[in-house]
Amino acid sequence: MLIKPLRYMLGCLALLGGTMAGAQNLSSIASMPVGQVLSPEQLSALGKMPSVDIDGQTYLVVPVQAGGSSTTLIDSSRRLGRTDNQVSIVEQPTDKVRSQLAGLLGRAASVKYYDHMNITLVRYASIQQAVQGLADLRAAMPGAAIGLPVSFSQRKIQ
Amino acid sequence: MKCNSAYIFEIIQFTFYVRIRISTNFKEKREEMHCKTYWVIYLKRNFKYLLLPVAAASLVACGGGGTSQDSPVSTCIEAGEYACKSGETEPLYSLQWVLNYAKSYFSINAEADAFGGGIDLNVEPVHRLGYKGQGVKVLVVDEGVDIGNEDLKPNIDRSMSWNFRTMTDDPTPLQIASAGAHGTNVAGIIGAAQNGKGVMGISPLVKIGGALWLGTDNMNENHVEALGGASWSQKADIINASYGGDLGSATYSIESNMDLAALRAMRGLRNGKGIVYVKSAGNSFDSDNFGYDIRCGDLYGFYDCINPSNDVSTLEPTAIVTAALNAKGQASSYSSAGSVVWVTGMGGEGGNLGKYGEISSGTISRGSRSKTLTHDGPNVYSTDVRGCDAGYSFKDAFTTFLKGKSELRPGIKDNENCDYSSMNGTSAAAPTISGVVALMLSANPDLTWRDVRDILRLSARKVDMGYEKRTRNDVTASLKLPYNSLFDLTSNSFTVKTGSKEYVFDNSTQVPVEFGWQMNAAGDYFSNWYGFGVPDAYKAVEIALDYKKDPTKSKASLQAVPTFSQLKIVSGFNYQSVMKIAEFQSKSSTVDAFQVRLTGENICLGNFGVVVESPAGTKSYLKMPLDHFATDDLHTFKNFGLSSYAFYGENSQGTWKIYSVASNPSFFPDKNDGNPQFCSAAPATGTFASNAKLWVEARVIPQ
Repeated sequence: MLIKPLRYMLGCLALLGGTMAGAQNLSSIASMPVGQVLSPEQLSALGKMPSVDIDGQTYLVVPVQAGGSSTTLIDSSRRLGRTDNQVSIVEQPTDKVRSQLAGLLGRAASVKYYDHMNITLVRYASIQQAVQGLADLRAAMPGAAIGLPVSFSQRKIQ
Repeated sequence: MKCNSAYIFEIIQFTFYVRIRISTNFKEKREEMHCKTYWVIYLKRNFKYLLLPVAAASLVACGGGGTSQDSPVSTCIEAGEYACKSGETEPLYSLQWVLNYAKSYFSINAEADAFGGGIDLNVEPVHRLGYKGQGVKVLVVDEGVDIGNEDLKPNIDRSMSWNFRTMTDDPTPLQIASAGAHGTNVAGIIGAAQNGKGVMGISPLVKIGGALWLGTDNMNENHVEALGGASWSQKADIINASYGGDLGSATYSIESNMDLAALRAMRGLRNGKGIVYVKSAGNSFDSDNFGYDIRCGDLYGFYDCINPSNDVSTLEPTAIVTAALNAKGQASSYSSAGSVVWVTGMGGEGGNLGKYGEISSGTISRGSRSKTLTHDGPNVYSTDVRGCDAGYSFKDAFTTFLKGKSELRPGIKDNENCDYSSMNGTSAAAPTISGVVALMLSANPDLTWRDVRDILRLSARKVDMGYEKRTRNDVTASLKLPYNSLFDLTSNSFTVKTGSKEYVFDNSTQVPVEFGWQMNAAGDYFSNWYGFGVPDAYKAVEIALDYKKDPTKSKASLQAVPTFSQLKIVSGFNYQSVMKIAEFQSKSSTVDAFQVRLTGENICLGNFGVVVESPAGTKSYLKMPLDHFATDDLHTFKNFGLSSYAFYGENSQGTWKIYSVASNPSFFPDKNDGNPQFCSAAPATGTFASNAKLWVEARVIPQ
C-alpha cells in the first residue's frame, strides 16, 4: 500500500534534488567571469537552456538570477558572455532617434541619450525582449549602427 | 644651489662675450623672439662645441643633469615657492627614477642587475621651464582615487569625479590591505602635488578627477558615462585607462561594442579637439604567471601569447596604447607586445626586494607561500590609499618602504603613515604618458588628440636596439635562444637558427616571431614591443610649442574611418606553413593604421598568425601563430579585428598582402600538465582543412 506513494515521494525528491543541483550550477555559472570557457561536462550539467540568435550567432541563455539586470550567455565555443540587455544606437543624432523611433522606444525598460556623443542606449527587461527590440529598431532605421553588445572579456586593472 | 635661469643665462652670455662675436643674424633672431630658450637652441645648433659644456655645468649646478638632455634655459612661466623647480623639493623624489634616473637613489644603491642602462622621461627641463600641467584636467578611470591623500588633495577636482558604487562624487576606494590602491597610484604618477611632501607627479599642477568604475555593476553603460558621456567626465582633457580585457575574441564593429562608440565620440569633445585617451597595453607577456588558465606551453617567455588587440578598444586610433619599460632600459618582463602599441612609458619590474626594490634576487614570502625572484628591479613610486591597513603599503608588504619602516634620511621614517607606495605594470606606464601629455597640453592647450599622438611619436626614443637578437634573462624567464629564433610551424617549437622578416613568404615553414625595430618606408621606426619608443617630455613640449607657433601643423580632430572591404572568402585552409590569404588594392593616402577583420568557421583561431606586407615592403605581425585561443579551442569567430601602426606615414597606394602564419593545430604543448592539446577543427590527416572557411576584410585608416 505504501509502495506507490513512497516511489512517488522518492521521485519527487530526486526531481527536486536535480532541480536544486541544476539551480546551483546555474547560479555558479552566472557568477563566473566572462570569457571563461566551460568544459563539456559543465555545459551538459546545466541541462536544457533557451537560446537566442544575435547577428547570426546562437547563444544559450543562462536563466536570469534574481535581482540581476544582465544576462549570462554561452556561445558555441562554450564561452561565457554577458549582456546588459541593452541595444546601442551609435553615430546617430539623438534627436533623430527620438523622432524616428519614438513608438518603438516606448517598449523599452529605459532609454538613455548621450546627445553630445550621438549615442542612445535602450535597455530592455530581458534578453528576449532586447533581441526583438534590436530587430525592430534596425528595421525602423535601416543602415544605422545598431547592436546588442555581448562582452566576452572582463575588464580588469592592467 | 638655487636654480635660477637668469644665472645660467649670464654664464652663457659671458662665455660668448669673451669667445664669440655674436652674428648679426643671431641678434635679429634674438630681438624677434625675445626668448631665452631660443638663444639656447640657436646657440646649440651653431656652437655646440662651446655651449653644451657650459649648459651642462650650469644645469648640474642647479640640480638638473641626470639623463635629461637638451635642457633649456628660459624665462620661467611659473610663479610661487616652487616656480621652475623640479622634484628636488619633495622628500621621496630620489626614489622616482622615472623622472630623475641618473640622480635617483637606485643609481647608487641598486644592484647592477636591478638598475642601470635605463632612461627617464626627461621631464626635469620641462619643469624648469615652468610647465607642470597647469590648466589641464586628467580623469583617472579606475577602481577609485583616495582624494584625501596629502599629495593628491591639492589637485583633486571633485566636479570631475564619480563613484559608480556609491553614486557620489567621492571616488575614494574601499580600505583594503594589498588592494584598492591602483587608481590612487595612477593618479599620483600623473599629478601628485609639489608641496614638500612625498612624491611629485609628472605634471604636479594638473587637476585630477577620479572615477571608481572597475568592479561595479553596469560596466558597459557606466563606461560610456566615464568616457565623456556624463557632465563630469566631459570636462577631462585626458582620460587615463589603466585597465583592459584582452582574453576574448570580441567583434570589432562599432554597434557591437559601446567602448568603440564612446572612443569615436570622444574625438568631438574637448571643444572639438578630442579627449586624449591613454590606455595600458596589458601585462600578459608572461601570461603563465597571470592565473587565467592561459598556457603558452614551450613558447612561454618568447612572445606574448595574448594579443593586446584582443581588447578591441586598442584597435581605435583614439587609444594611445602604452607598453612598459623597466629601469634597465628594456621592456618590462610582463609588458604586452603587439602592433597596436603606440608608445612606451615607465613601468619597472616587481620592486619586491630590499628596502625600495633595489635588490635583484631573493625570496619573498607571505604566510606559508614563498617565491624566489631573480632579475627583479624597482617599480614606479607614487601615492597610496592612506594608512597602514589599506592600499599597497601595509604592514605585511614586501619592501621596508611599503611596510612604512624605511629611512632615506637617518632617523626619519619615509613612509610612516603608509600614504605612499609603488606599482608596476603597464598600469603604471600609461599614467607616465598621461603625465607627459599633460605637460604638452599645458604648453599648448590647442593640440588635438591627433596632434598629441603625433608628438608623442615624434619625440620618442628608440630603446633596446637589437633586442630581437638577445636572449631573455629577466624576472620571470630565462631562455637560451634569442627572440628572433625561427619557429617551426610543423613541430610548434623553436629552432636554433635565427631569421628576419624575409623568412615570411608563401609556403615558408620556419619564421621568426619577433622582427625587432623595423624602419618603414616613411622613415619611422616601429616595434611590436615598444611602438614608436619612449617619449622625451622636453622634446614633446618643444614640438607642442612649435605647433603653437605654426597651427597649420595641427591635424583635425575628426578622422575618417572607412568601412572594411571584403577581400576574399578562403575556402579550405592550409596549416603548418605561411600562406598568402588575400590581397588588398589601395588608393593613395597616408597611412595611419592598417586593419584586418576575420570571420571564420571550422578554423582554429589560436593556430594561425597574421602578417601584413605593405606595398613598400614593410612587414608587421598583427597576430602570433600560436596564441591563447589555442587553449580555448576557438574555431568559430566573427569580425575578429587586428591592426598595425608599423606602416604609419607610408603611402597606401598599391597591393597589400595578407599572410596567414599557421602552426600545427594537432599538437599544442601544455606546460601545466604536459598533455598535448588539439584543435577540434584541425584536419584529421595532413595539413589542409577542407571544411575551413575564412572571410578576410581589410582597410587603411588614413591620417
